[in-house]
Amino acid sequence: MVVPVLAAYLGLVLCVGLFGHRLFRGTGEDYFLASRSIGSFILLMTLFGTNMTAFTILGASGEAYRRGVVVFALMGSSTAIIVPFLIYYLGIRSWQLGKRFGYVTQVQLVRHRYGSDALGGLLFVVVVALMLPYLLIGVKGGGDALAVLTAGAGDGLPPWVGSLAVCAVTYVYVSYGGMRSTSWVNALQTTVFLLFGIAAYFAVMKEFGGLEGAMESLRTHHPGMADFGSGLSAVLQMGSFLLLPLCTGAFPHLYGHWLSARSARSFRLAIVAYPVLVAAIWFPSVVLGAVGRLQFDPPLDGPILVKLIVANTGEILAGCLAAGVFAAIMSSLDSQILALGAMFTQDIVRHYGFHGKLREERQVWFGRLFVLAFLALTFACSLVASQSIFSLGTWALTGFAGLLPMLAATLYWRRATALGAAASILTVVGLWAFFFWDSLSFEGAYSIGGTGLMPVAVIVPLATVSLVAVSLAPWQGRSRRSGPPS
Amino acid sequence: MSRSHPLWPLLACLALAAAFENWWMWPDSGLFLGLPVNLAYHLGLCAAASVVLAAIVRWGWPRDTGED
Repeated sequence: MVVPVLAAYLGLVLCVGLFGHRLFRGTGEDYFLASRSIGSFILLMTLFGTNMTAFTILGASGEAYRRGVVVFALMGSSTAIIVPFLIYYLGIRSWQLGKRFGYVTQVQLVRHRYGSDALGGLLFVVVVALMLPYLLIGVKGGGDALAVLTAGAGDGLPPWVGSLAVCAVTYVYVSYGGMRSTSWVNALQTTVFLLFGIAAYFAVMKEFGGLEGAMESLRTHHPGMADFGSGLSAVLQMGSFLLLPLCTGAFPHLYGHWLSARSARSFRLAIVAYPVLVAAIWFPSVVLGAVGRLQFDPPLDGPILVKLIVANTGEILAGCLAAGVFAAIMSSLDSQILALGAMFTQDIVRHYGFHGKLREERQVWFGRLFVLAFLALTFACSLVASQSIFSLGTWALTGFAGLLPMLAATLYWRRATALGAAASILTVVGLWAFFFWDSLSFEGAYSIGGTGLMPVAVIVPLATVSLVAVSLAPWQGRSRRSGPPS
Repeated sequence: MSRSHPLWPLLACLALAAAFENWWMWPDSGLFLGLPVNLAYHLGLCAAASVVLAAIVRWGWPRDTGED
């Protein structure tokens, strides 16, 4: 039953995506930014859906199974607090400047602001390098989830089938309809994974005697899973997790969605409703994961959410869960692929090869070809990647969070210079590589020296310090620029 | 943060971030309204963030968005 339900869902996604093509105007700006016409509701749903990945459904519950309800604070409420402020401060300003100067990518903003090709090239390389593992996780996650779900339901599909389905469906609607189709499909997918997440919650919790009964049992049998821990290590860890959502402000795919807004007013609903939606999806995921400890003892041989649903509900809900997982994956993957297509077309092909003279139709075709090549590469990598690739997820987020000070200064700080921005990026790269190397010899979840402090809590402040120190250094003299575009 | 933004939304953001670190409650595994007390606190924090953001959208909107 899993496969028919999932096939029906993917068919619906394709219909919505292909319908978006009917409004396509044939220009590069329309393909990459939907002609900056996205209204409030679709913007809310697409910003939220893009930021919620397979980890929100499978990863959060898996982590809650291991650590308890503290995961809601670490990954849920931290996101609910930080991301709307990033939209308020960076999203609106990015939209303003993008509309005024015709930006499509972050690299264009940085090149224009600092007048430096090299700095733009450096940012391009770092962003693409950070995006690769992030994309791979989504594609591999889809394959693995479908394999476990169909194995539980008796069909037993190999992982590559799910990965291929995710890539193929995403490619069709992204390449055909660009940003408009992506935004519409994201609105659908966000609705789907919200509804299915809540449905799964009620169906499973009913088997545990309701929320209060389940929580009382959890507190009695696993008291450590109902509290948030104590001591300096817990404080440092919570502080670190509050910084991790800063990565959202540096995501190239979120930047594209910001620029696609119809007006500044379009951001208002997204800013206000974001925390509520975060709670609506993280609460069921975390509670189900924690409650799963009452039914399944570690170690687990698959995602806890999948095991709970297969054990406590019917096959139709298992199929719906598969659709929800695919929705979460594709709603991020489509935006990421589109953003990379925009970067390749605008920042490399158009900037270097055609000196800004690439025809509109050609821009669209270059974007489509790049999307195809990148998805094919990602799919091929997913066939050989091991499970350890999932641990790269947090590292990718850490790297993006480190880029935030430079991008924020680009938008707001007049005294920021190209050298300061480059110093900030190189600081991120250097520290990221050092901590990653250090983590290879670390047992369990990595923190600096085992203190609970995560690399993001060091990288973000030092990236800021290097930006400020180098930008204000007196030896830059006349090379200092007068400020951000206004 | 800039001439176009009032200061108080930034202070509100810092206040919410400070409220996020409710370390004095963390060892408590008691229940509140059927939920672990810390989980209930952070759910409330999400709701409070939404209310604060609604106030920011209403009274703290940037001045130079070119839409009014």
